[in-house]
Amino acid sequence: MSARTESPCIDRFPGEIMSRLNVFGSPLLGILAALATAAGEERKAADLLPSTTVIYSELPAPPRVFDLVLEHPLRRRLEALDDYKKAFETPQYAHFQFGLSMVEQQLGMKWREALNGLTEGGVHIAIDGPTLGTVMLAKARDAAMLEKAKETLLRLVREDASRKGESDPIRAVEYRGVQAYRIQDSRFATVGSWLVVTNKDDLGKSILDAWLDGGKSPLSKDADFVSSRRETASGDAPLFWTFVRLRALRDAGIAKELFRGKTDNPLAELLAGGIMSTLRNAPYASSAVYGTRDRVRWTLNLPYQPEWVPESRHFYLGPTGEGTASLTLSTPSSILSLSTYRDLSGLWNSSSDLFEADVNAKIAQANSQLTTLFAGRDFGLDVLASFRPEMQLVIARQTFESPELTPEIKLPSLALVFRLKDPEKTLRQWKVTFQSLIGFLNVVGSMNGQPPLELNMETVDGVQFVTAAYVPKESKESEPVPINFNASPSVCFIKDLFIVSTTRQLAQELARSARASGPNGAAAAEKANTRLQVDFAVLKQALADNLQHLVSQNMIQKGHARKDAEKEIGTLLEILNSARGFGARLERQAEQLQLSLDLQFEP
Amino acid sequence: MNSKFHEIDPRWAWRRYEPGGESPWNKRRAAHLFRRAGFGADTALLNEAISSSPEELIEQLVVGVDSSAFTGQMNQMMRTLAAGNNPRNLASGWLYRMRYTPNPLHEKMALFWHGHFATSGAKVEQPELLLNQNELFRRHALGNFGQLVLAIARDPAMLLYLDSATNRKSHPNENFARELLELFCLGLGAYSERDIQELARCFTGWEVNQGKFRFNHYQADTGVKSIFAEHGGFTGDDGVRVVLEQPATSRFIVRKLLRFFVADGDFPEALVEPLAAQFRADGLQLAGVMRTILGSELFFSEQVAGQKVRSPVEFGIGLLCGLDATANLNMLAEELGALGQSLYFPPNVKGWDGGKSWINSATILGRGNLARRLLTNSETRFGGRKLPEYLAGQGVVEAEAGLNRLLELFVAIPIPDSSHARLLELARRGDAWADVLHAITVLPEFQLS
Repeated sequence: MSARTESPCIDRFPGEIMSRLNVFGSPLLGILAALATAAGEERKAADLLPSTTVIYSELPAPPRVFDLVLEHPLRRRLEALDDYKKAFETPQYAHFQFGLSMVEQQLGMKWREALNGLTEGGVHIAIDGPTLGTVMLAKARDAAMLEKAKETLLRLVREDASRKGESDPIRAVEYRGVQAYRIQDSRFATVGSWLVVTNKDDLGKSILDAWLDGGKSPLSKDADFVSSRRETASGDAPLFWTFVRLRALRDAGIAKELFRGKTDNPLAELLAGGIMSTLRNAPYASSAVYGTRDRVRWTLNLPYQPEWVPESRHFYLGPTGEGTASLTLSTPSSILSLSTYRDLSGLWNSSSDLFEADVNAKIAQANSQLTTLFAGRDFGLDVLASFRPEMQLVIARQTFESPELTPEIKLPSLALVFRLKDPEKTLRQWKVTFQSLIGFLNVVGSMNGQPPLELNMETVDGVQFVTAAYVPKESKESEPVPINFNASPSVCFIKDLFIVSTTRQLAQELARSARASGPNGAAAAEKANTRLQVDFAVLKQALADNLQHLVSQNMIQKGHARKDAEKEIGTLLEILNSARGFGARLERQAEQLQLSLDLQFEP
Repeated sequence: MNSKFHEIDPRWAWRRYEPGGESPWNKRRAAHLFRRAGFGADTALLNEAISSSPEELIEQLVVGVDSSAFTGQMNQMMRTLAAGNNPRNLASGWLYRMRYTPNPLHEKMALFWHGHFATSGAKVEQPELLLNQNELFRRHALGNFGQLVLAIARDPAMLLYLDSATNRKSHPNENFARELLELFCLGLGAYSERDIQELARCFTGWEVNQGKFRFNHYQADTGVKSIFAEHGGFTGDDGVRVVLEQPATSRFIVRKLLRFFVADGDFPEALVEPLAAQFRADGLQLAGVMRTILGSELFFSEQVAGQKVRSPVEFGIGLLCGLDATANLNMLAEELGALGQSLYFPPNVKGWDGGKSWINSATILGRGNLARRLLTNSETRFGGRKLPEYLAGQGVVEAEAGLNRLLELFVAIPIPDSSHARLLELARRGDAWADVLHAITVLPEFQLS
């Protein structure tokens, strides 16, 4: 469908149009029509959409996205997987392929070429608040191509209906000289090189009005929209960008759970509490996806004001919103490192303001039991309060020195690093508590036939270690080593750092990193509130350490013979080779909070 | 008791089955053999089976084929499953074994012994001990029953389960002695309380220490014991020998084998005694008596068809075997537990009651749901393909012929005309074979083997 002239190439040949309109004796009208057409072609999608738009997403350059996805080396690796192949061997896919080849034949070009051409100027999707209408705007390379595609689609739909003995499902309507079509609940029109598809008449009309006359109050001039654009203007052009008017969603009562006061999930509060407070107050949010062959990055930007965060949530970003994750210990065997600013004592003591009643009941019970374990020191007010807010979690691959003590299932090590406020005062308390815990584990373990833990204390290069290791059986027979032998619980104290680890090996590695990293055991202050880094190469090694277990699980879950299971697991590990690492970062930048996720691929 | 068995001539019953006349060797009988002596068979296996004689097949089942490669794979798998230190992880590995074993009768016997010498992971929490016991059952599956009992008497898992990890001469632990007599060898009423006490004295000093059997000679009662009119300074092994020598042992075990492989319910003495006599004459070797049972006229007769209720394991694995299917066995293990049969977790020391106890309103519904889940789950593959393609490859295309093929494969006894008509109507809808199969699995007749 096109603007109502006899030539489909309005924007290319205005002279021709003028000459035809002259036939009707309206040269002025012809000029105006041509000007309107030219103006329409110059407009961006945000110029055509109303300022009442609540959600707006755009792919500015779809051909770039298609190339990236379809030509990516990861895709070739995925194609080697049986499950991937099976998805393309179904009758449904064959049916789809047949339909696609028919369309290609009608269009006279391959589907990818057609898709690139029809979306070259971008694809934009929006949801309008007042009408609750959804619209998709796609800009083609040129109007001629769009017209051809439209005619092909109309013809195919009509032929299909005729074949089935049904009536013509397409109804043609006209609005201000623009031919529009209706198929079931969808309406679509082509104006110039723009395709407009919507489910609401009013929304469609307002877009056509904007295309013809220029919008009176377009989205592109909306203050929040302009601000969010500016916030993501620097740096690379995104592949995908989204704007969400949070204020409108909140007012409409959408996603109430996201915006409500208390939670029943302490872990979620720990990970995202500060972001939730911001979401409850920020007028809008924007998100962008950036991508190259080596990297995909997603960012979420939110306006931020410290006064939006109540005192009960100061544990997250700090009282002034400037809490930073300053601990940066590292080890070559690290699979995952999460460094963050969290005032655990603040979180624990604010539980009645943050959590639902049943969670608070459990926290109260835990507080009582933990207070007993810590020899009468209140867990929230005394024990957690002895930590500064900076903390780090490290998960690392474990290696085993002795084959006789290597368990069948090799679990990674896990360590938590804290910074103590007053190391001299609290060091002895932590040592005693650790000893009590090991004693308790030995008593309970022996009742369940588990081997005992032997406690040791050592000082290595000035660093105090208190470690425990399982005592092996005195058996001459070769027996499988129990899974317990993955653990050698350890604590160490270095400068003002307190490291609690499931293994001695990781405690030692982190202690070495702490010694190397500066006078206070930390690198220069970071700006991020939270930093996460995952190393896929080490992750792959850790998985390969448990290859037999993975193969057995594959055999059981899919009924594969061993050979097929090994092949499938091998392929999955190969796919992991494609990715180098994953990172996440939460950072405050002036009056903005930015969350970014970053996946790096091997070149 | 199966009353009609009273009228059966034992000489005919245990005579070797001769195909012909009203009792031809066909796919239906081959399917019956594989259902009872294993976990089921698909069309390809049945086609192959009828090209051999039943005698050849049974010999192959009893003797077994070389399975060293498969055994190696299974050992590796079970070792990794045990490494998680949770006995619940073991069941799926055993289901994998049942599904793919090249020696189905041996595996079925291992299942039989698991129910006979019941030991539960609910009490014996160390997976290695349960695995070792399971291997014991497999090793002695069709071997010598006496050797099996001697091995079980020292099995750490069994001793821990029966609270017999220590047995001191000052206070002999009677638990194992009682179960040995009542549940494992003789049956109720074939012994006295005194026999239990005296037998318990034989096992004094038998202990489990750090998961291993140990003989503590300080705690062994070396005095004279009197068991079943025999006297002597019996050790534990001697005690077992005395029990095995009782004629009741052979009758008790034969009855259990008949109940597991031939028909639910009890058998008259007249049918039991000839086999028991053979069992005794063979020195309690199981292979011979199993050959006789599986190769008998009675086994292949109409009197036995459909006379057993499928256990949950037979239901689930039978469906997979019949359709050459692979499925998520972790899911299957969990579902079978919900139907009353958690492998490695028998409900008590008597094992599973079997028979009609498998069926109640909840488990019937559960079986149907399990079948539906297996047939429609995206992880299930049939001969490596989706169900419609697999069935088409097996000649299940035209409605009536296809339905009859499936019924021949899965159902032991004829179904009522009304059920057949309903299934046929479903089959005629086209592309509804999953529905047809599901409908078959909820038939009362399908619950019978």
